[in-house]
Amino acid sequence: MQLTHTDLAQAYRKMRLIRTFETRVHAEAQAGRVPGSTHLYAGQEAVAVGVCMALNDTDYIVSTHRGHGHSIAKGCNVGGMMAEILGKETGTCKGKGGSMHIADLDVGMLGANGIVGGGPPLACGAALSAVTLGTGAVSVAFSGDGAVNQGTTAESLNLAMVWNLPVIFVIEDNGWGEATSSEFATAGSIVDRARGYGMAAHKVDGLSLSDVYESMVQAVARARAENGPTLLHITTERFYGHFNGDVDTYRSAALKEDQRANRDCLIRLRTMLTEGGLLEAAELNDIDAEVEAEVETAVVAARAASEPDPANLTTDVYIHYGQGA
Amino acid sequence: MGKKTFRAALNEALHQEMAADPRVVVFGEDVTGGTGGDGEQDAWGGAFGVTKGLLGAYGRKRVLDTPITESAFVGAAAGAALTGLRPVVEIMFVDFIGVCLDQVMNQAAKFRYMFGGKTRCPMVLRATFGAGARSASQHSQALYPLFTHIPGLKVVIPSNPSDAKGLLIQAIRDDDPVIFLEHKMLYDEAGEVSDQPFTVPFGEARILRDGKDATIIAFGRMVGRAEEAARMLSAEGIKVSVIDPRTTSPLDTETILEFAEETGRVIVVDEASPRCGMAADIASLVAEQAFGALKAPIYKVTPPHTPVPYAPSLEDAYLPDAARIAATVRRSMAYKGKS
Amino acid sequence: MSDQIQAITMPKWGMTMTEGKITAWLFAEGDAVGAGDEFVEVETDKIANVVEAEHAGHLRRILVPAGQSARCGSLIAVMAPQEVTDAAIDTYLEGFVIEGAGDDAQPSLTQRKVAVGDLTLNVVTAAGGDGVPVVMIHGFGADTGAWMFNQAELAVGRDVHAVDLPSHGASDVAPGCADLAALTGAVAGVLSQIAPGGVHLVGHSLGGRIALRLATQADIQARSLCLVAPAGFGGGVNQDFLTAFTEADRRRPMKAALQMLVADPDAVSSEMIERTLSFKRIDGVPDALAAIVALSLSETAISDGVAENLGQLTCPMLVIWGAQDRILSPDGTKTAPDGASVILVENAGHMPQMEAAASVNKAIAAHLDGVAT
Repeated sequence: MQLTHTDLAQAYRKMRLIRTFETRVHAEAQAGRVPGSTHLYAGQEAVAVGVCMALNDTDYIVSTHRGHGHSIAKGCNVGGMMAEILGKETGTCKGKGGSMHIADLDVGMLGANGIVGGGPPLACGAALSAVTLGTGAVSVAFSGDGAVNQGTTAESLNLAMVWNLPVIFVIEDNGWGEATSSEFATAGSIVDRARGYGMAAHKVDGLSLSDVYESMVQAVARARAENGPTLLHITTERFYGHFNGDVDTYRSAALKEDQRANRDCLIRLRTMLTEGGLLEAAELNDIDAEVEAEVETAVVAARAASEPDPANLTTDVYIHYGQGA
Repeated sequence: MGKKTFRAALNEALHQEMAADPRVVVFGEDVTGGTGGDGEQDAWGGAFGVTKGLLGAYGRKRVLDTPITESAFVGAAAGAALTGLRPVVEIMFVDFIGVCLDQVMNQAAKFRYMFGGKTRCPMVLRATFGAGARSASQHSQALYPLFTHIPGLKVVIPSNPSDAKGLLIQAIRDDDPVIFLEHKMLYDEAGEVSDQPFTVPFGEARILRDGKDATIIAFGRMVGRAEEAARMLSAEGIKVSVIDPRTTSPLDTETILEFAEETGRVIVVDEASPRCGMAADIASLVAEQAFGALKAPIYKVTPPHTPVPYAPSLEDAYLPDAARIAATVRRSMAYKGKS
Repeated sequence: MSDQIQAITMPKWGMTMTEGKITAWLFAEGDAVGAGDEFVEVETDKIANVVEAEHAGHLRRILVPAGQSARCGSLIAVMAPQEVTDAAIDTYLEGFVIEGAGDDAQPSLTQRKVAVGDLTLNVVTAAGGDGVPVVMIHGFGADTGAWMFNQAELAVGRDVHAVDLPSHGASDVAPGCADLAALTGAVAGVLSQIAPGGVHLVGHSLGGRIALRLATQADIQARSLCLVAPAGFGGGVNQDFLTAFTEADRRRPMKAALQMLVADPDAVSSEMIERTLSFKRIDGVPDALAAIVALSLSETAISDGVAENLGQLTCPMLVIWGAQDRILSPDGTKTAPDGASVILVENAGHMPQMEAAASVNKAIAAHLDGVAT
């Protein structure tokens, strides 16, 4: 692996941060402090982190409704995110977006998206900007296994090839599109679909941080070299239900126990690091504790923050509207 | 200054803005025409010729043909606008918004608000609209009420070549997402258009004539018909004001109310389908805010609640015409309240 | 007999008017009409205006009834003394010819661009004959349209040109050409090409100040000078107007600013407001206007050199001023030198050439005719 000791520690930290964050959001939701719904990323951390490790701040990602992990991995502020999810004015989007619309263009995060399949066309647009303005940036569209069947995804794959765009389609397959298995809902092979467009495509084990990272490095290199888009079909695990109100009875208890015990990407990374002598268990425990503290701070601050002032209800619709209605 | 067609005025606006700002890019289906073939390139310059010549001047990096995949390329326009470009994306007929409404309604329109005011999406979506070309139900709609309804969008409907140029330049310079609607029957209309680049602001109506007896408010192609009706009525001694709001979002409510109060009689002419249309919207505004000044009910001249028909006799009956508009004004003039 | 018969023709107002519609006759056939009486209402798509009778007479025939249109220059009515017989009028009508070539009536207005160094300026011309031409120079914020009720009327026996100043009308926008010397130089450059053998100058407001400077330049060969409410004749420009005009970016404030220019506020039409707003929205125009205000219309710049120029004048001079002018005080007439004709127009503000077109045209025509050629 090309990653250094520091890189690995950072990767672990990021993944742990996501896990802890989502666990706390779950708790806040159960306690009734999250207005609306939230879609938790726990279990999928290696994908977000592995992908974003291969990107710069000036590269773009477009996310899904299950976007907390992508946001954290790309560099969004955890305190701002927690406040946003709790609907407070100190939130990343001033409380106007919520869980599904967290965005921060300063770190290249073009928004979580509440529309399944809403992301890929936007990512094509960001890639077009990069090409036209000559910035050398690449864009990444995160999609779920549900979104991969949307018309927008098919159109975006085609457009990306026709325009030779520096975009990477990351299909994050956690086996479930809401309450319906992807096995049922998805015909054929996702990789074959992309290859049908002439696109480079690979299936990747999303529980392995290094596999994700390496496949992304290749895809990014291809994009930056102006050799076009890539699709990565990355399999992973979704620990919680579809959203915070989902009792998730369509998956057996046995399956879920098995996930946590045997298919947890964080445990796998920890094992790989300690057994490979790359990081000490003690170091990793320290990281765990720091992360707990960081998220605790964010939660406390978010709970204490004010709700947005209704006077700001009508601001930020337009930059300038002019006379009349 | 010179006489130019509506089409040529739009083309000039695009040229001038593309020359001035390298971030302006144009894409859509057949915006050049001939791409990938062995024959003439830039063969069409757009389905209605509006983008002709741009390819030669600005190249394929800034003038891009697309496959027939509206949701991808309209979404791409939104994403590109978020990240530094100023796209002018075209859908061939506004009726096709059905296959890409999400990108406009849920994405572009809402970014700024959802993201807490921290982004801008300076895209222009151009589309042709309107009936009269015998193009039948799926290629003749107006649909601007749909867009006007959505907060975060601006909606522009030029009625003449000069406004077409000034409003398109304004739209391209505007940092919010703009839906720019071009009536397909107006492309060949000619009028005086200044050679220099100029803007027409949004939310400012154009007053075509002043008359104290009644006010006709009309959009797009209906403006010409309102003018025709006004001429007919003038010969009968009825002097009407004719107002073209030019943009439905923002709407120049100040001017509309001013004229409602001055004349006391308001007739709104709208080619869009009558339920929840601009005629209804303006009528509600005037009824609420100028009620005391009204001498007659606010009348609407619109098509019936049907899809646009194909046969010429039916389509002609569908659309408001000058005779119907004039008759409605006379009806307003004749109204006697129950006092 | 026939020279007592007055042909009343459809006027031509501005570049683009090709025909007008009679909206109302204010007198009936057989009525006596006094000189200066408003006697027919005419409208086009853009303008509605009233035509005043130039001379007294009886309205003998109405040839185009209310509600109908006629091409510019075509006959719409006949006035004659009561003694003139109907038969004589019939004969006259048969022989009436619309003067001028082509299917457009005379005098036709043409437009062309004239290059002066890097600048391209727009010139509108009413062809009228071979006499020494007239050149009309509009004021701040206006354009050749300021002369729309005058240009064609005065094109009798001579061409009448109207020039768009730099950054105005259809001339190039040039914020760098903003002080009096530069503006004058630009117009001089135009004159050297369109009136190389001498010119009758007519200037309004800022255009009047420019015309005065030009008239003192030997190479211009000014044969006469007519100044309508000229800038610099004592007293500054109404700064409130300049502020209101430059800041107005919507209908209401623009209307308020334009109403300061005229005695009758209703004279400000929607078309005029629209036209002015459109002008101000051309790229670069606001900057250019601000520069002109700063460099040519400031208290000091405006009167600088006026006395000197007046002292240098050798040609006949006419000064016309509206008695209700709120932009430049009519007290300025007192600055007119001895020997100059001075006309104070009642019920007119800063735009007498539009507000009282008939009498202003008459005064200018007499002034031009009185100049020894």
